[in-house]
Amino acid sequence: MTTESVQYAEARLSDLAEIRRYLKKTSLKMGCTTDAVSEIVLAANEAVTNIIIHGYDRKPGCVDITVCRDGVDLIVYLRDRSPSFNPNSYPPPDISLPLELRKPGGMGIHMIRNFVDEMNYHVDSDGVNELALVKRGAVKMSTTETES
Amino acid sequence: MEITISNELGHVPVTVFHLSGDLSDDEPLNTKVTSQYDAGMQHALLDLSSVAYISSAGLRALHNTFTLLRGDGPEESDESITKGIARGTYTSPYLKLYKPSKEAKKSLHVSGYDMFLEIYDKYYEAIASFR
Repeated sequence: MTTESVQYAEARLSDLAEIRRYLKKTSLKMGCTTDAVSEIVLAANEAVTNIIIHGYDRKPGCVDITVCRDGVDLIVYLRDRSPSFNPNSYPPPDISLPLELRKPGGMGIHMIRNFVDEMNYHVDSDGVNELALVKRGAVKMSTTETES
Repeated sequence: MEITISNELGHVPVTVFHLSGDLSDDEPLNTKVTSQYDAGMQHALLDLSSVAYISSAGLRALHNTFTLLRGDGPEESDESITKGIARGTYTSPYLKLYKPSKEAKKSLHVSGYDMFLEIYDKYYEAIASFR
């Protein structure tokens, strides 16, 4: 298992571009395919955006990002201290409706659901939210074989 | 995100927004689109050839652009558009997209935006498609 982390004591929306670059660089280094990388980056970008906008009400707040390779799977853990919110509880939007008739919001969570295989949420005893974004089979087979 | 604007004349005048960077914030595009709309723009082509990612915030900017340019005729009513999207017969005659990257196409697809926004890979075909 390979792990890399970065901590933002005061994450802001203006940090998102840097976070996307970090996730791209790290997941490529861990051997992920370019397709998997783009989907992981999109999913994590949406999740961090939601933490900053909805969790911290657009104010700076701590966000810890851990990228973990487990065999051929990649897992991005996002930890924050905003009020708890389980994204799995949010209903999916009806994308067949015209834009004006859609319920506002929720597109970010919809994108996360589509770009990763699992979105696991829990709150620990200290009130820290942890969202694990799991991308199955993200790592190129040749990289795995080389490692083993 | 950098946005430059050019004007083309096909069958009708078309305002082209050339976007560069990640479309991850709705404000820059909204500001430019509103300004052009106030100046008389009716048809817009978004050049996405230099856009790596489109986030949900970027999709909101596409939503706003679509809404701003949407006509008020019966063929553009909520009911007509709903039926048209369901049948696969409605695409916006006012807003189209040029050359989104593979990554950008993923966002357009999962959001359903590619159901009503035409995507072109050839620039002058895109310009000529506005009538």
